[in-house]
Amino acid sequence: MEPSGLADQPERHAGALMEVGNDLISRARRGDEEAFRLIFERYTLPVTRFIFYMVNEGSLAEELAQETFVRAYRSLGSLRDETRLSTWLFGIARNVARESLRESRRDARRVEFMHVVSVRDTGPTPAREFLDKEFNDVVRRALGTLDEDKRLVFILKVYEQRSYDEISGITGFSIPKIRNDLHRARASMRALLSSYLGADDDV
Amino acid sequence: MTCKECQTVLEAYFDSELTPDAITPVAAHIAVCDRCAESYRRLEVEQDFYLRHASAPAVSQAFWSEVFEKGRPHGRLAWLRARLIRAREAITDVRLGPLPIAALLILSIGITAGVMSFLNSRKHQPVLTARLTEPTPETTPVSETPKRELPVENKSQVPQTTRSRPIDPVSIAKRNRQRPDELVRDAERKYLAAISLLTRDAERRRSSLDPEELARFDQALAAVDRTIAGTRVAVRAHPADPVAVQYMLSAYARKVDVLRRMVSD
Repeated sequence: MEPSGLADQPERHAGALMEVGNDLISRARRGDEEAFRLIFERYTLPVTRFIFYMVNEGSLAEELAQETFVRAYRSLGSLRDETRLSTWLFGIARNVARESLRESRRDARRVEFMHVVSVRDTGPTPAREFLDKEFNDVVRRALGTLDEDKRLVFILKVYEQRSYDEISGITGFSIPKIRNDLHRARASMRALLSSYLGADDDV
Repeated sequence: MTCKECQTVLEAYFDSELTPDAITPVAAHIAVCDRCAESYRRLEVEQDFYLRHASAPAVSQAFWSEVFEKGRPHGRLAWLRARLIRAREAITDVRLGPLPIAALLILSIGITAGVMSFLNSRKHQPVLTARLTEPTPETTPVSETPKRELPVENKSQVPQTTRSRPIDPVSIAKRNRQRPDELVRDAERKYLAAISLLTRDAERRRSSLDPEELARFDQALAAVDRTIAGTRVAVRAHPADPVAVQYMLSAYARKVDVLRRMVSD
């Protein structure tokens, strides 16, 4: 008879994973840096991207993303429901971004030219690479024209693929407001980018 | 379903936010309506465009080391507070049965009460010192002892009846001379002596223990050692703080208990 491992016992596997997760969370709450990093490192890029789109400035985005994780590290004890960890984290990120915008009264339409990493594979041709970079900048500029609430909802829905419930948990907005802001954000972006939307497919 | 009704819920349908009952009529309408089908396709094209042109700044190599550098508490008071919080949480994570926990609680309460009563008794030291300088009652019969006004600060603390047994001034002075931090160090020395003996015995038994059980013991010992280290620092900084003393001595007691179980299992 073959010995059965955890793979053959999905309930035990899920239970074992949950036990490891709970153990990591407990260790992270006690200030174990390694445990904290194991749990949160996978959110580095999503949080940085989220803040980048909110504040529209690359160097500031990394600094604010660090601030987000610092606050999470210090206040992990206040997390009540560990199953909503990413919602809690993005709630912190949202507050950090909002505070930065209000402190500096930054004009979100100002564009900073910086080294950015396109998430998508740019493809082999120079023309494609050039256009991709141009389109990346155009999308960012267009996002910057949205007001803070609509930009927030648009980023969380389109880029982070959050449900309306999760967006409500992160932002505190009601579902009708989320639907309304999302609809208006899409309409605004469509109006600004209509010429690019067709051009992208032609290359 | 009409086009107007469909357009109202089309984005929610695209976002997978509709209930199963609401999905069916929308899907059926899109299948037969070119205008609404085109609206749906436009949402798909836009979504694809945004995701293809998502960008984010590259984070530096030192991102996480800087996070922890900024996240560590700075300043002595904040550092001590953080260590105490971690010590307290580590103590609650060490798994012990109800009887050992009860015994440890009684022990720590007893020690705390002893330290506090010692501190309180020092306030009345002038009473004892004053009484010791007076003629001892044993040399004078109780009936012939005149009532004297003793030169004490707080007369209400002085018992009205004369002692019938001789007082040992040496032991009282000796007790009074021991400061709270000396009491704590004395208790700590005793625990360390017990831990040293038990550790030696536990080392001898390591090879005969089940590996899983040994790993659990090692984990418990590592956790309680961290607690001891943290509480020792707190007690050194605040030797008169009964809470810090209590935590430290409780941590020593837990280590003794873990080692005892290692030796006896």
